[in-house]
Amino acid sequence: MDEPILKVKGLCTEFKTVDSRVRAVDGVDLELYPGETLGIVGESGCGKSVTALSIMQLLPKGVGQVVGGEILFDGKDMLKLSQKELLSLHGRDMAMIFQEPMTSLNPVYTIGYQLSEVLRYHMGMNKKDAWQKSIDLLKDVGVSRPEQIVRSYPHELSGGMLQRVMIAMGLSCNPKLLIADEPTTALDVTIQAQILELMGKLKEEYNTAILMITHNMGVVAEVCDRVIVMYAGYVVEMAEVNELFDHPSHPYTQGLLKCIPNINEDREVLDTIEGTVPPPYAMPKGCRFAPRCPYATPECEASKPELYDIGGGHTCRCFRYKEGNPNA
Amino acid sequence: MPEEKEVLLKVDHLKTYFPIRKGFFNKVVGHVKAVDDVSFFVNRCETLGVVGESGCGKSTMGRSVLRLVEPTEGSVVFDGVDVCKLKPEEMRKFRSRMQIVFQDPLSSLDPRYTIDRTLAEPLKQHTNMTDAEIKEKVLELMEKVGLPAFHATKFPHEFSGGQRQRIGIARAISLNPEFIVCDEPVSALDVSIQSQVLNLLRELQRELKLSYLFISHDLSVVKYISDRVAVMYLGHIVEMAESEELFAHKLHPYTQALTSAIPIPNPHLTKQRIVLQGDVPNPANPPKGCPFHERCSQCKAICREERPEFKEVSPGHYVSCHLYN
Repeated sequence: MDEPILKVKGLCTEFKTVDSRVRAVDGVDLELYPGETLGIVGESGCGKSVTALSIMQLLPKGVGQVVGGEILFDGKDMLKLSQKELLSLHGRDMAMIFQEPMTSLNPVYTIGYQLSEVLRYHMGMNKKDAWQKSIDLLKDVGVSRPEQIVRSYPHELSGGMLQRVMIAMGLSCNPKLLIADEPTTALDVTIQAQILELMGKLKEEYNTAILMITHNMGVVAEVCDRVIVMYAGYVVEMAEVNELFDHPSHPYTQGLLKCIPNINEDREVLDTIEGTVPPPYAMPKGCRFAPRCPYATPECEASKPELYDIGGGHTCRCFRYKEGNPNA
Repeated sequence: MPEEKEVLLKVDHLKTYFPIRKGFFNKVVGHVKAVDDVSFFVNRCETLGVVGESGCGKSTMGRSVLRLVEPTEGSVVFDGVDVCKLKPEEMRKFRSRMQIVFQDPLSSLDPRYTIDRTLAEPLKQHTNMTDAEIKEKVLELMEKVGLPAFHATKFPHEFSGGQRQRIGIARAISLNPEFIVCDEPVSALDVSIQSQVLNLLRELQRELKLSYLFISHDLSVVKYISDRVAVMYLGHIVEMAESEELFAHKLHPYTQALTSAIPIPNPHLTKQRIVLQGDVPNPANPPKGCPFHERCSQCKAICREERPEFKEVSPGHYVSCHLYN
């Protein structure tokens, strides 16, 4: 097997608030191999985006801080890099696509200017070549009339179109790692289908490792090879995508899969997960899912479970799997 | 056979246009045809789901029905009364019978009002209840939507998204309405909370005999909650049928593309996906003929010229497409 391009161990990220510190990510481990798509799913506030920002070292200065663990990207320790070294990594070796393309592009520059800026900075291209390459990139991501689009400003384009521009920008220097933070959440389903298809195609073409952050289980099933499920700041389950959907093991994953209305099924009443996610300042002492878990025991409330290996690269943070798989 | 259904709301040829103004004299230079000639009905105790992508006019349609946005043309008949012809004071009283739940629960609740005050407001406006009765009713409402009574004196910012949406629902049902427009009530919520709210809406419907106009962009949610479904595209309803019928026999090419575009949470499924090319056209400058023809894979010559009629092709199944004429 290849060396993982990205290796995260025991990542902890904290945010300063007025009177305390809140731990948004608490001990996340993950490995990502070249050409692989790893999905991180979870509900809002589970720490999936903060994980991505920590990896990119894009946490808001003075507010968010990585307080523990290590992030190895391509053999380099991200936490020890200087600002200058980071600048040369961002956009070239690791790129990120954000949820809202409208707010991630600069409204006062043309699309062509913003695309060629990356190329000129990282690849040392001259203005003319970079402009031409921008047009080619837009063609690659399926933008029609790219010669015209490079001259337009972000407000003149639709959301789907802008997200294509973002993807083109992300892939412009052929990065080893692409982090996509909810790339299709702000888009309509027909446009989402276009973008997902495009990402799949580009992955094969460029052999880029993708870290796909989403809350949509349908998107996960469609594009990911492996999946990490996060809940309240930590990983609760990790498995191959088929394994996860066939044998969801953590009670949270099981609940999550059951409460999505499925277009191919008819159901009278939807299953629900009772209660809400605990706020980060009042995390339960034991298992964080215990207050909402149908299987909770006194042990779950008292101590925190580990990630237990249940075979075939499938791990699950639940005491029920301490001595192997009870369902196996 | 089920008993004959009573039509509660009947909308005929509803049009809502927004003028585009330009220049020093604010001259009207065109119109955004947000809702362009839609007709539908909602039976009593029934849910009509409306799906469509952003900008297709589904929210404007919901608001036009309640006259929160004044319709340009057409009629909205609610239980025999033409809502569009009511005078402002009559309309104000009439609103107790038709309510709305908004998408974003935080911006639709007054941040300076405690929850009990928010919930008491409609009761004060529309009924002659005494303060004590109102207080009792507020607690009853909160219980109905599953909010413990100790929350009554809290402010909206102290609640989670799901709880806020419950407050929005409690406010909507406070005057015992017959009809509620649910405008994307679960889009802002996480899936585990979404299913709680959907179940609540269903329970309340059974208990209070409510009719819903349920607007959403999520087809799976609409399928789950609706008895009948209307699919909108660029201000038009392109297809409308009983929920089961619609999903079993999708006739309009847009409905087919829309359903095939949904990512299904099952990695083993390899399906034939119809990926639509291009974007939704600009509603200020809609294409001639069928509004969908530019993206349609089965476009014929007539589609570019003539707008298809909204016709009943089988009992209760309406579609607006030249393929079925």
